[in-house]
Amino acid sequence: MAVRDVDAADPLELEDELVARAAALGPQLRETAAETEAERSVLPQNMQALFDNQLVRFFQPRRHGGFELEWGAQFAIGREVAKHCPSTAWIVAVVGAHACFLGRMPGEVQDEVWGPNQDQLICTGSVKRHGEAKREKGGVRVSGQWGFFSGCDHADWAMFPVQIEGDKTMTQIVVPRQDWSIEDTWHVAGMRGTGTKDIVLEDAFVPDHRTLPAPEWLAANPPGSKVNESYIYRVNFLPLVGTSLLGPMLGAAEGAYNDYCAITSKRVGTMTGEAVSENAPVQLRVAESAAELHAAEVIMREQIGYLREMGGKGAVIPAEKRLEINRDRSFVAKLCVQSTERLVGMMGAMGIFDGNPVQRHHRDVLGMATQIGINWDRNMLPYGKWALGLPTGDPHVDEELGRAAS
Amino acid sequence: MAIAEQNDATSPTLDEILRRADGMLPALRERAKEAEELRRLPDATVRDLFDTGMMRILQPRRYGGYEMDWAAHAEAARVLARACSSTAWVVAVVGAHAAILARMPKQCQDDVWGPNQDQIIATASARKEGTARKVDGGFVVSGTWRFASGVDHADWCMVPAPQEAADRGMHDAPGFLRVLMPKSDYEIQDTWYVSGVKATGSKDVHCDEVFVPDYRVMDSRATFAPDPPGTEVNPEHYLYRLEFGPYFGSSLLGPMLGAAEGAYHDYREITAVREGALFGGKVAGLAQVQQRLAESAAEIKAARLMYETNNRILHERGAGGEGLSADELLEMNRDRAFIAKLLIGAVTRLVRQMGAMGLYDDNPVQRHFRDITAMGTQIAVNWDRNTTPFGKSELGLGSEDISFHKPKKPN
Repeated sequence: MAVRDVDAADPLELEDELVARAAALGPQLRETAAETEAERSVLPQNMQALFDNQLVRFFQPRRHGGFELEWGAQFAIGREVAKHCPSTAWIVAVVGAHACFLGRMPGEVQDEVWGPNQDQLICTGSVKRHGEAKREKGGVRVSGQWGFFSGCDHADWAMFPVQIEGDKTMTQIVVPRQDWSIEDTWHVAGMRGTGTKDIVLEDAFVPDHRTLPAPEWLAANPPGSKVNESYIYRVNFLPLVGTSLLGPMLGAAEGAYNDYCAITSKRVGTMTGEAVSENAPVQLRVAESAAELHAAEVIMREQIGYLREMGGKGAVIPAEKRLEINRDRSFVAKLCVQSTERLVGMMGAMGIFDGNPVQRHHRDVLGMATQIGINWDRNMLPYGKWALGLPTGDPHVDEELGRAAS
Repeated sequence: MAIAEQNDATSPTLDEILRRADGMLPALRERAKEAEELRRLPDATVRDLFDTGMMRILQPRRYGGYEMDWAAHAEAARVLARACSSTAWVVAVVGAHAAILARMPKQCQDDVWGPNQDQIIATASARKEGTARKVDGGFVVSGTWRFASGVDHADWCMVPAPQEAADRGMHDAPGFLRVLMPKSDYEIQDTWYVSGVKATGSKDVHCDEVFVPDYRVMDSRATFAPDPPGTEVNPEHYLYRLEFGPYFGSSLLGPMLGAAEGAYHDYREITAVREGALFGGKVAGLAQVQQRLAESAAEIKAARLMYETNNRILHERGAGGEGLSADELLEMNRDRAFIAKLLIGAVTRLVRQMGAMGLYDDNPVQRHFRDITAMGTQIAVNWDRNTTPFGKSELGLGSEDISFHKPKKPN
């Protein structure tokens, strides 16, 4: 199953290979999607299958058995998985992409994580419930609770930002499993299977080499770029981050569409006994949702192509383009939500049954749409402000454009 | 062949064509009001179109044309529509009639382009009434037809006619003939009193008992079907050889996209400096306004990417000598309607934010809005017509009612 000669392989061919493996895993994931929801965590056998198929190695450094694929590989792979199980897709695309997060950290901590075992899921969570971090000799002492650690049930390591007492900026820390416990807070309406629980640290000591000021980690040429080759470990990270969840989102919407068409083409109205598919409004809904999904795909293809091109050249992505990328991501998310709602809304009471996969996909799409990176208001306003010649409210963008906030 | 080679050297690049189109924009903006009042293109604009070669983009090289790849005419029209949708319509939609003529018998092409290679070829494709009666050596044609865009500047017009009395219907329904007539054969009836794309001058043509020789009358379907008669004299380009429906129906997306881009541009310029008429204050400072602009920008970009995808597929398939499969055609028709919907939605959102200012004739956004709404009435982008066949097919009901001919399956 392993790719024999990663060094010789073309990254885009490897990406296709991983997408094909994801597709082959589809039936298993589909069959266990309901169980995954009930467990509120990716099932152990599915996690094992992801590892066995190397589906979370796309951004893992080559020196640690990974593939260092082009940015956007997570979109393609996650999209395929999500047609069958959106929660598992989230683990693949969003959590799997954290390998790139770690790949930007100092080489020493990468060796610690991947040295003993190259099958790793690295969970992260950026929301602090409560907690504190204090600098002491040789490291940082951390206590508290942090939220949104998707896939933490299957992770040996967690990586997240803390505010060290006295610091103005955040610091990324990497913490092994024995230093944290899981607080199961993940009782939710959608994306249940992601197991996005809280973690708790009590008086954990994090040695210096497992810490890095967040601005250094996000900016171009972080420490990890000294040991890892690809641009994904080297370029300014912010414009890239945010692509990952759109693969699962589009795939989930496409899965809803596929299931809807499969069900509706055979469905006979429970009251009237007529073939539902004969209704022109139903046909129109299908066409409009299909067109929206196609639009979403076309937009993402363009965006990923652009990010790859700029990354490959090591070029800086200008401020207005960053605003456009964020705008387009929100628009893609909106298309996915609309497309799915239009379909599930036509299923009558059948659309609210747990056994209906369209219902689950719908909840999952809505669940993913809550993510901040694709929040509609948050991303549309800065773009609109920019277009009207106003300060955008984003300090980096405004500084670059010479538009001081008034 | 010698002619083709000779003309090859004089065909401009796409960049050059777009540059020429861009150069016309200040004049088109200046003439926009006059053009609307005339309800046809001003003579100066028609001269500009001929001088810049805009009407030659899809004209065969054999007759001094450029034979450019799909979708050079739509791209040129997209640029023009940022200033004047009516001019763009004539370039994209009427300009594509050159490719229809190029698919007709040689003698037809010689008649039209022989005396003069600067031609606007009108078609009046909707029949109010009209018949063609077979007589010795030709047909006697009578009738009235609608929507002959640019007909005031045309020396020739094509109309559809059933060979015998038939019900109203698609011009390519069985038994329909395509009839090519010189302007001396018909009169123009000025019916073009409309709310948008006023300057296309899409008037009626009427003729009474006109004799048309056999070679200028042919099966309407044959002109759009693969391997039409014109292929013999224009063998090089796929536009003169493959199923033409998918191509022709995509032409108007260029003007629609350009109109939306023009509306967006003009709205942004106006709104960036606008103060509320009643209560003062910068309109641009309103979060709702900022959000509208961003959403419209996202929609226009989505439409552009889909339009480019559509054009790329058409060109690649053409260059590869293939047609589209029935499924692909259904998808393309669906996307065309969706592109139009995105663009109309984007412009509507902007003009409705302008308050009463959005009603004024001298507000260019208002004109773009009327124009794009009017273009959206065209059958190729009709929402209901182009969406439900796709839905039917997806739901396993077959796709028998697609609007154009079934294309030849790729080998």
